[in-house]
Amino acid sequence: MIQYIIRRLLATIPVLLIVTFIVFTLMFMAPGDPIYLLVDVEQTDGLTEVQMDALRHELGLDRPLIVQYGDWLWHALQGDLGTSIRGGRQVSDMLKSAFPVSMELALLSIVFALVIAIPIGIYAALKPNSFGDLLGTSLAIGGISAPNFWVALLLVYLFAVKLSLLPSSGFVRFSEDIPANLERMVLPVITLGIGLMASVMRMTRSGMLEVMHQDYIRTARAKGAKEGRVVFKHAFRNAMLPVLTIIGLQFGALLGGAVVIEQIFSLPGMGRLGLDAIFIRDFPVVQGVVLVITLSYLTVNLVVDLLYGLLDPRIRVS
Amino acid sequence: MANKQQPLLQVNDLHTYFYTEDGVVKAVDGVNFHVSRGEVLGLVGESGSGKSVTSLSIMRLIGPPGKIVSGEILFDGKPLQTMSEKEMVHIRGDAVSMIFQQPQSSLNPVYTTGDQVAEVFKLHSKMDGAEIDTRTTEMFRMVGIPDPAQKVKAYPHEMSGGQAQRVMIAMGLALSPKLLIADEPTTALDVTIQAQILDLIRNLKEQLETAVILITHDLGVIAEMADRVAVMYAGQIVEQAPVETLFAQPKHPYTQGLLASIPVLGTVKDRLDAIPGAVPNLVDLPPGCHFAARCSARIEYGLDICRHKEPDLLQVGANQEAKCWLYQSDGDHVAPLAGVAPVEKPKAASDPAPVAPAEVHAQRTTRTTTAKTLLDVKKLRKYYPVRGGVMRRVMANVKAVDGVSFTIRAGETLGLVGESGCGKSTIGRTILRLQEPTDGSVQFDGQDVFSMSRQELKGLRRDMQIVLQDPYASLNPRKQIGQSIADGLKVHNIGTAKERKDIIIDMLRKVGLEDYHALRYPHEFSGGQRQRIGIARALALNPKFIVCDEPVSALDVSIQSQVLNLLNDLQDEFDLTYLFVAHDLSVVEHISDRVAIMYLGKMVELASRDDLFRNPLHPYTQSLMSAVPIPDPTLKKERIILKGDVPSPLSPPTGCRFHTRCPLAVDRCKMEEPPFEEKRPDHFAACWEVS
Ligand SMILES: Nc1ncnc2c1ncn2[C@@H]1O[C@H](COP(=O)(O)OP(=O)(O)OP(=O)(O)O)[C@@H](O)[C@H]1O
Ligand code: SF4
Ligand code: SF4
Ligand SMILES: [Mg+2]
Repeated sequence: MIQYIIRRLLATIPVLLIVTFIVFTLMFMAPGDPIYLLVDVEQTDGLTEVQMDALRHELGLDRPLIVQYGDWLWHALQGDLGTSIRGGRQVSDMLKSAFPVSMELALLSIVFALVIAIPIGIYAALKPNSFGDLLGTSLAIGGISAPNFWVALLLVYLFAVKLSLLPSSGFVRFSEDIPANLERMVLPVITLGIGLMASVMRMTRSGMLEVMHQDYIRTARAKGAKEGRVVFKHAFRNAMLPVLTIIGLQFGALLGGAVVIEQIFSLPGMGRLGLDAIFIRDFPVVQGVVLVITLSYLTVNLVVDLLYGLLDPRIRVS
Repeated sequence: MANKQQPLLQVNDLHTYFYTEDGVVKAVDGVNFHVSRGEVLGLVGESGSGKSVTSLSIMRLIGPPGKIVSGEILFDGKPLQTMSEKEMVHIRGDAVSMIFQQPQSSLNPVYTTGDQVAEVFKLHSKMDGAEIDTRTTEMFRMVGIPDPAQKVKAYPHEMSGGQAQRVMIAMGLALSPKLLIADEPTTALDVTIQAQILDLIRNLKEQLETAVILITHDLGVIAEMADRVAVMYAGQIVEQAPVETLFAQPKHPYTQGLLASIPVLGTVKDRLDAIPGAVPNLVDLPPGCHFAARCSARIEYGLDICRHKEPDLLQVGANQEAKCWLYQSDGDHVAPLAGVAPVEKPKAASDPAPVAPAEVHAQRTTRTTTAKTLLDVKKLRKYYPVRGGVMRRVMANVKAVDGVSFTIRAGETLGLVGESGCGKSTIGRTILRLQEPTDGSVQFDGQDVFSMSRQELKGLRRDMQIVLQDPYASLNPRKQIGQSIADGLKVHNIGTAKERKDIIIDMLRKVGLEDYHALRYPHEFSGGQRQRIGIARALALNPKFIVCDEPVSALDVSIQSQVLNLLNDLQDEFDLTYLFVAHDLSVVEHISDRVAIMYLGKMVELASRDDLFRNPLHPYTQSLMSAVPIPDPTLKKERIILKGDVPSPLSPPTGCRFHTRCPLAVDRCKMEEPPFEEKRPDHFAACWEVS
């Protein structure tokens, strides 16, 4: 088991290297002289070509791309992700403050999606084609097809503007005031979670429907298990396997959605940090954000795989 | 307290219907039977006759769209049909339990097998955890699972089919039920494993005094296990009798037909008496006897009443009941056979072959021994690599076929038999180069098959065809079957469109179908008809040689005999040579001129049919033959029950591969592999202990 985790962790290294290298290259291939990305315009104003070359040399920009990447990597390994071009803050500090916000948003969205979707999905599967099933199914279709920003606007209009139940913007850190933080997270979490909720609902329904027709369910009934036990002990765990896979797969989309949501609700998370950084070509920050997002994506998928092994002995690693 | 005189289970006029989109499926349509305490009732019938629905109705496990419409199910005097679900859960698994056909998929994959057996104790007893654990391990020991203390922690996927069925039996018998319903408990298992499981059920039922309803389509299993037999046809019980009576004096025309249509190991017939037609659709059954459309007795005796009025299940002899107008009068209708002394099997009357079986066989053997060799297979090997790890490296090889040599003579049928996974189908596919061989050579009609180019191979495929087990999977569902057959002809540039059409119609007629069938789609055909289409398609190219890969194993017995007869007729008409791959020894004995036995990728014995079946040399062949249940209850044969399961072909045993299960194994067998050599004239075997 431990060996498996170590192997999986080792396998993330090449992925991280490739992703960061691609971002590195892209930033350098973007139009314009990369020196302007690193040095404030005032400093370069009026410098001669010779002086510029000297500056480039000083900053190491005349070295081959791969060497420069190696340089960045070397520092990154020591925890030094460089400093932001604007404001000169340590990139690692900026990430430290943005990461928990995004993490909270993503995790709460997953929890929200599961808590709503699984019971409805099970109900729909046990009573296929009933009114509840049709309602759930239409909800799911709506949830999958509705664009994030539209849902966000609708929710804000409804809960914040019309009903004045929830604040529509502003941000309070979790560490500062938990109730105030949660109050402000409700709408973003619903907005972000609704897509996942829809896919989980559909997955639960179809998974449950399929499992309920399996031979081993008939066996459980023939043993004298009550219907509740048949559903929750014998069917549920089997039906959750595909749901777990969906969560792993959808986590990437969730992170993508977070960029938009953070923008709409002005949450100071990774998405917003990264987006802002791209607009002003704050290269070290972009690189840092990409690194952290890739890492969390890989970690979530590792966790999903481990959970999968825990739930399903057939693929358990020896 | 229940009266000891009354039967344990009494089912009266049971009707269970399924309300589907196509209409009402009358799966069980007026079923009457009883089971006495401690007896084994065999419930036999073809696929779809309603055996499973009957047993699930008893358990009250029929879910929507199905419903028990009417009838009475009295268990120990209590009516089950009106019991609440709350009361039923106390009966299921405790007083009545059930085991199923597919043991592996009948166990929940995410829980250990031990936990699943323990659940029965948890549900129905007040035992504490420690006690349950001991009892569970005890049950594992009782059903003969090796190393029970360890195996309770195993998951279903870590067990073989035979072991999984033992777990199911442990679960079913944990609380010593009064009634065990076993629905095809051995159908999915190999014949040597089937022998083990049947033996186990027999012993445990004696020990626990449990009554058993044994559901099967295999008359051999019935003859061996049952005290009494009920024969089902199209949702009804048509005959009921003690097992000896049923096999000696079947009264109902369907039972008679069924018994005449099965090949019996050790009894060679030239032709099987097939029942014409197929099981009727259970939606919109016409009035009258359900068997009327296929019944030859009805025509023979000119009975009109059969078509419009249903007979009752009535006493026709001591303890024997039949549902047939031959024995019942009604108004104007006078029963032609009522009161007449019991009729013998109408074998002599309907047997079209005047030639004595042994003679027929002798003719065939001489014909083939003088013929030239058509196919010469030498040291054939086929390994399937097992890949694993990040780089998808080859971690090991499944040695599906590991050095097999044999010849097939022109015009003969070579039967190739073995248990699942022994490599028999792989041989067929590799010879045709539908799969690339790992090593070895195949000469077909003097040409070297393995060195052929693609183009040459295409020409060869005209001469060598294959008929598969699952005819449906091999037909394009979106093409009319005429087109499917035409495609094969087009690939080989045979004929003009007009000529192709003639060939297709000709072939369809040859296999017993009609012209208009060419325009139908595969789903419109029954299993037996699809198999005929598969044969027609192979035949259209006018091949010399056909590999028949389990062509009848998915078919019902009455259909199986039709297809076997067809294959026989076509062989004579077109001078065909067959490689007939199957797991059923009786079928192979019936159709083959020579027979080869395989075990774990090796051929262990090869001889003419008579030599092989009358005088098997190899211990594996002997145990295989003794494991086959014979449909004759008077025959009490000595059984060799093999221990354990077939080892994995990933790491076959050293020396003789059979040594782990062989009753004759000596030390030498573990070290050295016995050569496959001619032990008697034209009789080959691989065994150190056979001289
Ligand atoms: N859930 C269902 N919905 C609709 N029809 C059904 C259902 N289950 C069974 N049937 C129909 O009931 C009939 C009897 O089926 P049943 O399974 O009892 O046959 P069987 O004798 O057990 O056959 P087999 O030997 O193939 O197991 C068949 O025509 C089948 O199609
Ligand atoms: S009732 Fe008539 S059709 Fe039915 S089995 Fe008897 S003779 Fe045949
Ligand atoms: S060689 Fe030995 S182990 Fe193999 S079949 Fe013969 S006696 Fe049995
Ligand atoms: Mg069945």
